[in-house]
Amino acid sequence: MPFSCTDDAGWNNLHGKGCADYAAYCDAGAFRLGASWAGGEVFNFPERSCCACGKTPSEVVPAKPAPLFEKHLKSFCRGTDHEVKLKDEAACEAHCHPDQRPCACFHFNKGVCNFGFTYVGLQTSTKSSTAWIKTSALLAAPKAMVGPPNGAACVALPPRRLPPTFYLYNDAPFAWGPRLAACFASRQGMPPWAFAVNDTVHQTDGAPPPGVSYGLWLAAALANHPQRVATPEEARIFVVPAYGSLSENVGGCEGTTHAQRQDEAAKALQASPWFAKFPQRHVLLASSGSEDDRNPLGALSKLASQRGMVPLCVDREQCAPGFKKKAVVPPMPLMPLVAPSTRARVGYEACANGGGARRRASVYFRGRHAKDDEASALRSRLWALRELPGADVKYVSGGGGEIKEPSRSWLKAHGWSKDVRVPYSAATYASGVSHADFCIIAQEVRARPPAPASRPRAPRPRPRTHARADPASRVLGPRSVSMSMCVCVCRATPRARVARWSTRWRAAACRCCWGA
Amino acid sequence: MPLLLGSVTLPLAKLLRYDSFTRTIEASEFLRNPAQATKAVVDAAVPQLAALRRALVAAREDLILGFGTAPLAAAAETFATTAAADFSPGRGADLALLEVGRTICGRSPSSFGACFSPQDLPPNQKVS
Repeated sequence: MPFSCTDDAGWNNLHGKGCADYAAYCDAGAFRLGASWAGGEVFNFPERSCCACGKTPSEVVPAKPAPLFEKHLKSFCRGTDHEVKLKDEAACEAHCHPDQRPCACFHFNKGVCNFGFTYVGLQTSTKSSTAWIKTSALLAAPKAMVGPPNGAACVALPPRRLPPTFYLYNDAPFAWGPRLAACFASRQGMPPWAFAVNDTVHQTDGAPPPGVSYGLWLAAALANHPQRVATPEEARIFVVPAYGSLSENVGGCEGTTHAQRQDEAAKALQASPWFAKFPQRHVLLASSGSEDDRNPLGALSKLASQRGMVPLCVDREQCAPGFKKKAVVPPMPLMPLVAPSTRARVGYEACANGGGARRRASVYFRGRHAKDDEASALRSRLWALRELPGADVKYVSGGGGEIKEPSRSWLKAHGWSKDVRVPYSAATYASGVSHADFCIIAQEVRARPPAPASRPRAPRPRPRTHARADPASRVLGPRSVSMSMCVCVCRATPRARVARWSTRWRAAACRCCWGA
Repeated sequence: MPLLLGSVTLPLAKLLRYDSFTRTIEASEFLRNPAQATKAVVDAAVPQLAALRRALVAAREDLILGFGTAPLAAAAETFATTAAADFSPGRGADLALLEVGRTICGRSPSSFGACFSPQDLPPNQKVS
């Protein structure tokens, strides 16, 4: 009979115990009498992973064969030292099958199959060449090729700045990550961290925006963190796992709704003596930057903000309301940019040939026009960069603002005639930034909602008008333009300061000059 | 290499030295002559490209939570990701937690020693 039971290698119960340790709690496929508390989700389901606790042979799923080679478009293998004439790429792949020879990387170009037995990196191809890297060689690449895990042999990482010790709540009401991921996968046919091709709310391929899986990545990073402590007594801060965006995106899962899950988490948190004593040292992920979030934390958000918890927010402005202090964290990067191959390639590039080799594009920009006037003026002028050699600048459609009239006039005066916008593609963007020396990150100030009319305004402080007493100051403006468009130059005052006053305190700036 | 244009909000700005791996285009210069202002910054940065790239490699480790194809390795087979499941943590969680620490106690974001009495901190921390 081929059935056999093997403990899951590497499994642990989230408290440092493995299947071997569970012999004390389990026997013959079941928990010992009175030891069933050691099972279930809180302890990472030992009954599913340890034979002694009940893992059955039928649960042993044969592992899917890992792909032998990983495909990289528009790339060549570096350092190939073998070649053979073959008819097509399929023949090249057959030639490099592990049963034939130990190719680490190969590519097919102009009737020639090029391959090498050691993987030393990829080179960008402007043609349609595709490089195939042996998966095992790729995973070993950072160590074999350049030593350190970041791929850069010439970079000495600064000493690690250890954060405060933290306790990660792992009781059942907080341990929804894998379950929500499974619910998402069963519904969408892909995991929540699947790469979203166009990264909009209206995905057509079922993949979510990157922010949806933020909680899962954060939990993975915290699970084996060196500063994680096993008991709350040792902790300086307390991390409450929260998967708000994912939970809201999934909706119903295992018979619970999003709101019920947040209610349960809020109740469990309220029952914690550590929360009662140190609520302001508790932290949770409140905003992951997902555009379709509505109320991702539900009752948990209300409790957290009322008790002064610290929210982790990807976007300060869109973070859950009510929090006094916020810790702003970076958004999720695009998946291709955190792939091991990218990590190795970028590290290699920083060191190889002095690290100064130029990439395919010099300046790269993909983005929307801004809704805010000030940002719109800047973004619209990016169009003018097309004259720079190696610049790749395009506007993307969807959700962006219109080009405001002053900017439109400026553009027309400089030869612009048509507002061209291309559809956004995250894959294109990830590829673009990987192949450009400089990527423009432009201001995108969101228009703030107008203040309520009934709200009394605080009196504005009078600006300091150093130039008032300056007899050398002279007026260029108010006679020819309206008072609100006053333009003045005060010789004794730095021009920038006057310009700033002219924007914020137009009238005062004019008085300053008139007074002189 | 990030080229920052205008007022861009930078996460963890007090914990990361952005000036070591980014360059900034002055907004006022850019409004007057976009191409020239950009070219000037790029031309000045190109000789420093190697140093900028190395600084970016280091900063990338600090900014990213983890490298890999899936955060849940155990579920990777179920979800049939294209490559073998792997996750190797970056230092992103370090800085996120330090930012939390900074929010709680700016003067000692790691130990909290400046903001809490010793009895409220480990190892003497007890639940009443």
